[in-house]
Amino acid sequence: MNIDKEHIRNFCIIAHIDHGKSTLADRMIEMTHTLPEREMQAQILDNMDIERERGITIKSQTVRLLYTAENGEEYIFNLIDTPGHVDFNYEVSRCLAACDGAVLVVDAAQGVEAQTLANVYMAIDHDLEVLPVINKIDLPSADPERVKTEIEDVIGIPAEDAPLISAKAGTNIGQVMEDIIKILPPPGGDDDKPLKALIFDAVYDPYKGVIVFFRIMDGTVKAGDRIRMMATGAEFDAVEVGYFGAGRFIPADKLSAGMVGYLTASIKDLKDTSVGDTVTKAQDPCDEALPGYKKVNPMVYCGMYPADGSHYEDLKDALEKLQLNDASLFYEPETSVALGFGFRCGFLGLLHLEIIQERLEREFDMDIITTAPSVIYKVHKSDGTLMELTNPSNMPDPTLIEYMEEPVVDAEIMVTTDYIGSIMDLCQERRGIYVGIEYLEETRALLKYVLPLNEIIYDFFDALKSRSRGYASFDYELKGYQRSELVKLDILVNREEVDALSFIVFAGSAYDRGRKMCEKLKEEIPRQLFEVPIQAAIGSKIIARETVKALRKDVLAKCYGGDISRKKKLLEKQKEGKKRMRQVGNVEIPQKAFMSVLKLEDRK
Amino acid sequence: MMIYIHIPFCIKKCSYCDFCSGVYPEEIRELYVKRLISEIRQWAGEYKGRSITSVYFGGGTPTVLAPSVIGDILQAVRENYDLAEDCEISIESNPGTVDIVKLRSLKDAGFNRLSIGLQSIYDKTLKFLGRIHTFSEFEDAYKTARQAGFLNINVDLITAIPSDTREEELEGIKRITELTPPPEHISVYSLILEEGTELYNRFYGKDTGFSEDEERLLYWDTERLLKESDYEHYEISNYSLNGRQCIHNIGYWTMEEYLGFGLSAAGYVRIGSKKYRTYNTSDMDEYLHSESYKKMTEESESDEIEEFVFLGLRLTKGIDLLDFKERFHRDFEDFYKEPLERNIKNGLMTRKDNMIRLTEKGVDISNSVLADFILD
Repeated sequence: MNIDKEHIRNFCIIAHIDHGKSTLADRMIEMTHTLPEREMQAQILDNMDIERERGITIKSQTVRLLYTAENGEEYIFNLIDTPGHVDFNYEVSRCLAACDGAVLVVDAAQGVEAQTLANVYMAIDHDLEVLPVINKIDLPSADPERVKTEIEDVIGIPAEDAPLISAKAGTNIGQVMEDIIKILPPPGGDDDKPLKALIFDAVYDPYKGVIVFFRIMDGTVKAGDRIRMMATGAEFDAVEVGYFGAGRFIPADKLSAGMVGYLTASIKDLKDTSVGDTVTKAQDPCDEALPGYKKVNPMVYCGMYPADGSHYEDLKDALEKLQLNDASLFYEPETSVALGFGFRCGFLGLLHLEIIQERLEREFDMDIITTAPSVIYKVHKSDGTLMELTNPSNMPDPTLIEYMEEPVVDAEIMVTTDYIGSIMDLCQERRGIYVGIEYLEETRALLKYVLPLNEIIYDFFDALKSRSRGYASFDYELKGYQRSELVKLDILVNREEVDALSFIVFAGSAYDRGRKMCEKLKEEIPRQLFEVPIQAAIGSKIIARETVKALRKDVLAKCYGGDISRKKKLLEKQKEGKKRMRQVGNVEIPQKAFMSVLKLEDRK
Repeated sequence: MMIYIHIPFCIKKCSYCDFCSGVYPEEIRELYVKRLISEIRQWAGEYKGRSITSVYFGGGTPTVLAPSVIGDILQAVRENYDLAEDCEISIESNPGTVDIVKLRSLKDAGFNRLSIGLQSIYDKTLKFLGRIHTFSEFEDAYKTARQAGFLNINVDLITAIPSDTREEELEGIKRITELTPPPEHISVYSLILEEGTELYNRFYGKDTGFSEDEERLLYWDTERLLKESDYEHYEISNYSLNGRQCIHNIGYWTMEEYLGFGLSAAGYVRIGSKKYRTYNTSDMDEYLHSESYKKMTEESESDEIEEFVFLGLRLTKGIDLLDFKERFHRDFEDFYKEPLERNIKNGLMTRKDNMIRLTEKGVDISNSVLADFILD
């Protein structure tokens, strides 16, 4: 098929979480009959269960739509779906780089939110044309006129003619399609130049190996071409090239400049195909790679251990398989006195951590214990060396430390004016440094803070929501490192240190955190045969203590009429419960206790 | 081999009771007895020639039925199975359902052990528990049973009842040991709030007057009191005088085979080279009219091993490891070296030669200890 570039549109849909991005994509797929109706399942693009349940997009998806416009001509729409969470900002930026335009979906009731802004600015940074669309106009609280004004005032793009739609009800989708042709530009690029294509995603397929998703800026590519990844230097023979159906791959003879597609080349390792890298031909390479490539590094680390120690190998297999499809997941073996053999895992953020945890549980049926998440601290030692600390247990003795640094982020919080006070209090409690406030309109403001990353990785988002009754939204990006007074807080159960419960905390918060930790553990650790002291300590200094009283009794059920089945079930249940406990010295600590550190923060 | 026969009929449901029992009209009772007798016959062929060491009529309240009907059921058992010379033939009764005529005819029919459900010596408590009788009615029934010739009598008691104090509970137990002659056997259970019962609905999650700690103190006070009156504490909840332990009860804990007949009755039987746990339906309609009233699940060797251990450890004398070896042709330690050593180290179990058992501390948290012997 010979396609003229004028009839191609490469675009993405950007939106704040829940503003209806995926639903709009579904309607577009439906309208272009890309999938037979019986195969439609709500939100085709979010094809992981977790994505569908949480209503967020984690892995980006791409789909090619054939649209016959009102002028009778057929257009190819390459819809590149972007991840919808700050943890995946880099992926978002690469997806945007693969597009020429963006459809901006804004909720007609909620208006512009923090992520709307962050995404729009990123799109504008990538020189994308932006088509605003106002969704959910059928909501009783919808106020499209106000939202239009907001888009113009706050973002600064014209919105007067923005389509007013209801993606859910399917209202006015046609106008969006026509506006995409009218307002978003066709791709540029030169077929005759050497191949230059941007990798914006990659997935692992057990039969074909890595499948690379790319956008061709210049040149052409076909099966049999010797290709080179410019950043990693790896070379492969392309086995298959093609474009995307909805949820399927459709092979093609050749792809040319301006097109979005995939290729396979028997690539065994996802690491050879980093998102953001440039694909070119080995024989006739382009002169320079596309700008903006960077290696994404994990920001948050935690220990992951099988609840049942005998499942270590299973966990290893599961992590290996997950990593095939998620190059940003990092893991290496570690051991804990309390938890045995497990892995130190690195994630892009807390959501990423939760997703991996859930996928391990659901897709691999693993029962895992996760230790408290930690950021990467820089430890400047007295001997002049620098250590990057991802596991609190490895913290050197304080006498060997000159000073420590912790990562901080630039945070933007959008909030209605009623809640500015309480959100500022929250940021204050989290050691935030006030940078400024911008009033976007009469009732809304954008608060800017510099916040330590370790103050936001636990529950900052929840706290934000509860203190603003859901009205605040939040976005951040890593700013760098700053010097800080940090201490390692150890937990002793029955006078033995439980390494998996140690964490690093700002010195000024240590007492408070230690006390809460002891209280929480007291609830979680069942009574034992003897009194069990639970202590929090910094070095050799005990700063908090609770006691679990000794166990007395148990139930003596009657086995009536020889029916032992109930009794046996009870014992089996108890045995299962015991399996999930970790023996630390003489004390059995249940799995839940290790997780409780995650939910420590009920500071109101 | 033993036989258990379930009679699910009661005059009134007690407030603590979650057993399979209830009030049924006369027509159902008649159909039930017919069905029961046919079930008893149906299984006979398989076990012809096996010596039956115990027949136990439990309920409900078996003595709700007319003595002639009970006699017919027992007769059906005699005709179809080989009862041992010294077979223990027990029946449970409610003091409000027996008189001298009934007790005499039960004795004549061959019952040689009578279990009387007293539960408490206090009328206020009996009322609280929803019992249909008073303490003085019990005293009459007890005296009458002796007159009828019963030489082996059990009295059932419940303690740790919300309406009572600790002193009252102990006084009640003492009073039973002072009966003349004293009962050969006493069962003492702490009240458990079972889901679905009237008491559960009233007290679950609320203060029942006995904390866990108080219930445990009462348990050991009960033992002390009964031991002073020469009772032997032979199983977690059971006491006997002069060696008159309940053969049927011990059979359960030592993994004897037993046939279970009647609504909801459970069994443990060998068929060919395999062992099965059997479970009769608890649905009266299904029991009366369906051919698939009995479910059977095969017992694996590991099932058998763990049951042998957790049931055996309910006995005060514990488990004989030589018995274990004889039964399973493997050493106990092959399966349980670690939990045995750990529980001994923690003072929850003790070992003397080839006998292992729970210590007092172990009895207090028995579930936690027994759970260690469930195999992976």
